[in-house]
Amino acid sequence: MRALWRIVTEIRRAVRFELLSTFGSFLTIFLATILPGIIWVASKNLAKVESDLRNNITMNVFLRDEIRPTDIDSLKTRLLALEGIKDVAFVSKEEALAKMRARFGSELLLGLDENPLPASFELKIDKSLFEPGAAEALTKKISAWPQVEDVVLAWDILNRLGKIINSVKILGLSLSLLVAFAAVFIVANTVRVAISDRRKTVEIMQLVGATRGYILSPFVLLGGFLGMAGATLSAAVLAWFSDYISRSMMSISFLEPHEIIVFILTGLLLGMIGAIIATQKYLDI
Amino acid sequence: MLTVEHVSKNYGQRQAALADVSFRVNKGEMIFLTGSSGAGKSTLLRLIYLEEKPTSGNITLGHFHINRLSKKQIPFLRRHIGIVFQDFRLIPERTAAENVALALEVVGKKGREIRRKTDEALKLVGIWSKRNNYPRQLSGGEAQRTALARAMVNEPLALLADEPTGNLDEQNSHDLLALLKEINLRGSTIIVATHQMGLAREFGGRILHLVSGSLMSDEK
Repeated sequence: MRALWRIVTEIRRAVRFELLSTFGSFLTIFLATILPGIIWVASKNLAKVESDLRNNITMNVFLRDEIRPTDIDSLKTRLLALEGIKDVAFVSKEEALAKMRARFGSELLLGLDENPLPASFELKIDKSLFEPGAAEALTKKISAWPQVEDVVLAWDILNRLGKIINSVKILGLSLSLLVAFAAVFIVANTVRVAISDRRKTVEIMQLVGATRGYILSPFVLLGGFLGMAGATLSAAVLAWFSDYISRSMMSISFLEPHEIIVFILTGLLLGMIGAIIATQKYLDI
Repeated sequence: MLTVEHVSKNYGQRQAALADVSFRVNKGEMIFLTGSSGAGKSTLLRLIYLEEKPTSGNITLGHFHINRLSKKQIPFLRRHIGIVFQDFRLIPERTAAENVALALEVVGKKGREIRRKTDEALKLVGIWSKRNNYPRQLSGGEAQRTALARAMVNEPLALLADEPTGNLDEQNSHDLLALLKEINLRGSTIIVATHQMGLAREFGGRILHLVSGSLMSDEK
């Protein structure tokens, strides 16, 4: 407890006597940690979008116009019996038109004598169809039924979206690693300057018999403190920004409490690693 | 208590900074190490507190065989030596009391004991009223007294002073040596390196005179 108090006092001294440089590095670390924070929040939300899309993906089975009402029930039963289909909803020609008008405007298709839209079944599919080839096989099978005009699955779009999300994740991870590396470097430099500025103090401590650990531990903790403080401010700014976007544009989810803790602890760890690297130069102590 | 045996120190090809110096210091002695600038006084002190190692010879202080100590053991030797320098070497961001307390903190003394011993040392050197001043707020004499309080607060085996009056006026120099003498009379072993032969003679004690790295005389 006493050792901790001593370290806190040393950090307080460093902050008080080197206010400008300490504040400068705190800001730099804040800027260095905010980017990984943004990437984390963005990829988390993109992943959520992807998973929502996957869960709500529908397969549209368009029917020929000459279909008889009695066929509809039997088709529905046949569809439900197929593997991978969770739910089947019938959309009549009129409903299709109403939906389209609701979406694109009531003027749509007004000039036509006849409704050109086909009746269809909207199928909700489950995860078993995400296996390679499963959805294609099902599409082929249903397309072969005589009452069926066409089968459309927004599969390509989903796959493309998945690829984009993966690229964002890889890019984000690489950028985060780069920024983390930069943060370590910044802290190392700050701590090196702090030790250098306090070279006289360090020498005096050596003269009165302080051990290497005693002399360097406040600097390591200073690095950790800077990393943690920078990451905490980043998390706070991100939380505010996410909330602002959620209120004014679209609902996005921020990090969970345990993720915020991980984020801040990562800042602490990076700061300490940077500081330890800086103190290695002073191995002679 | 302190034994220096055939100690030499060379820096490259130049003339030896110390050449075959030997002497013994008993507990409670006050010694003046005199000589002109470059005679080897500071070098000898640096070898005792292990800032440097001798080229040859042995130094022992209490149970420490100084030249056999590893780097890791140096702090533990220094906890038994108090050092005062010409330029005071106080930590600027610590008050006078905090500077003195530092010597106790590093050896792991408890808070209450640190306060008690710091107060005692500050009172002994006569700057207790300035305990909350930072070094920049102290005069030269006050700063040197603070350094002296820090050097003696741990009751070291030996107190080394390297030109302690170098930055002080005559009155302050006199007062500081009087204080060192008083501390010596309480039982501390003190070695003062100075080029001011007059001061050394005035305060008595043993005088070791160095000339060009060699011990020329040992007067009691």
